[in-house]
Amino acid sequence: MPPPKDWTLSELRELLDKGSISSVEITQHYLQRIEKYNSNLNTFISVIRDQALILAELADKRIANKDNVLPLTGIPIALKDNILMKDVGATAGSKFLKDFVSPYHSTVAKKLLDAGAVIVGKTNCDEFAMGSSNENSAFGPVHNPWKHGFAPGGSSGGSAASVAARLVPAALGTDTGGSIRQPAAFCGVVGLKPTYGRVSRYGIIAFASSLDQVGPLTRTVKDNAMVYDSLCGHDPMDSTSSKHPNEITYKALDSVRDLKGLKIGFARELLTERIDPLIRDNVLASIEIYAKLGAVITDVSLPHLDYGIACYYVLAPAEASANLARYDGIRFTARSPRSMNVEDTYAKSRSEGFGPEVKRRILLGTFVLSTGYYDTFYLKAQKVRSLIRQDFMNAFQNVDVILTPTTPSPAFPLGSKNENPLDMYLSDAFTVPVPIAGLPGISIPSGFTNDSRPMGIQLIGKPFAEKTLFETAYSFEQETLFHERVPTL
Amino acid sequence: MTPLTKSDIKKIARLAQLEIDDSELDQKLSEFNRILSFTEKLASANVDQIKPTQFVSEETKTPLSEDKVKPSLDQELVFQNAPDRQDFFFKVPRMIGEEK
Repeated sequence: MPPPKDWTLSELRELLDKGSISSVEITQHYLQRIEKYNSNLNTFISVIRDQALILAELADKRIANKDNVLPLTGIPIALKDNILMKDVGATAGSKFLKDFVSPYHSTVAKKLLDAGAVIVGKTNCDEFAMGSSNENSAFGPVHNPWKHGFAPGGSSGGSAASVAARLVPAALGTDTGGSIRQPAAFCGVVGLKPTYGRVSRYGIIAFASSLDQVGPLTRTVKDNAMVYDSLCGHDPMDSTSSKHPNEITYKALDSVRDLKGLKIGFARELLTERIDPLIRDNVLASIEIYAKLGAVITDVSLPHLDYGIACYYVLAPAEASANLARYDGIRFTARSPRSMNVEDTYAKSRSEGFGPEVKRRILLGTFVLSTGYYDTFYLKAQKVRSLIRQDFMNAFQNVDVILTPTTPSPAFPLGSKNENPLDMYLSDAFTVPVPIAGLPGISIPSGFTNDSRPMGIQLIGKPFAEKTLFETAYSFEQETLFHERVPTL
Repeated sequence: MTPLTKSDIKKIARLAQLEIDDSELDQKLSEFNRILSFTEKLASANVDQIKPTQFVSEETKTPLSEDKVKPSLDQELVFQNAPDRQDFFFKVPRMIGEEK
């Protein structure tokens, strides 16, 4: 076995195909790293060591027999803990689901297993995917691998930090308002939120069903495309999943696309005084790099994006308040021992089971849907949603891709925004408009602060234009090579 | 909009089947009003003639599945996470005829 290296998923694929390393060896390598570093980083809620080694053995047989070897055959991968894998726990970061065992596979887990991937465990996340710092997990916060004591972002913080710390070559996250892209930026990795409907939501613990989408977090753009290709496709078990034809995107990344003539839209109006100057300078430098690569930088106007956070914090809590009504202390969650009657069972179990942020959003959602407030808040937000989508569609008449910062600031210290939920919400300003409009968005590493905190840029595409996003991202990655920097653990 | 009061919050909590401790009511109320006043920003958006978007999809109508019996989850799997059960029933505290 070659000495432990800083492998990317694509490099592992080559080594496996050449037979110079086995999936069992690779899996053992990552399991050892998880064992060594998880106590410090807290990225995993559960590790399924034995199952992973069995899956690796099966993958090795499959590779030896040249039996339908696919891009992920034999590759270790982690799932965010709101993604179901049969007979394995799924807490969604909540103590309410501490003892829950999944009775079935999510479609994405099934697809990964069918492809021969080696699922090694479930990653930490904000409770029910609600949060931007991973501090809302009932299992403690994740630490940013680049700077201990700093937030990894959220809610897929465990997935992003695991990939950044080289505890797995790839992980799945979910994104409702930025929960893949924001932690990707904070941890210096690549994170894609696909077009709404591209990836099945069946077996994902629902937060806001009109916005939720599963996507990959990886070290490189090509790795991301390899995982994305394995996930997407129509699923009869999810009525919102799209019948749009699948495409193989990762093969387009065998060579760097010449960006000459590609039109990248940039909305200068988004760089308000609320943006950290480090991020402002970084995004302007990134624009320069794209211009140097031959892209045409075009000004676009997205006037309604300023309503994004307000719109999101009406729609997402409203949907969450309905989705989370199922946690009642009767069918699959812990029940309060204080329950004396049925009403008590609901209210006491829910009050003991849910954490403060989840309760806050359930209350907010219940309020905006209640009699007398529905039109003012919920219906109005749905109309503003149309305006935000229209802004993007108008811009896409003239450009191929839109570039923004992923976050208004680099990673912040754990605990620094807990006093004020609204401040925390504002850290999603650039990411929330994308799911509101149902579009695909990718965050890629775009540099580092002087104290080694990563920064990211977000590329937003037309519906189902994931391939263009990957190509555009890949050119930047190969020019800048930010993905080659390794955090010191 | 006039800020919400403690009794409003209590009413919302009851609708949501959540309990709020009296000791945390003040803090919850001020957080809630701060978030709500931020969302009031929506009031300034001009939405005349704009149709609401529930979700973004290329489908124009709700897809229906075939009316056909298919295998479903095994009962034992469905009940494995129940906090209390008797055979294949979820067991709950007494619902009717109970003394308050």
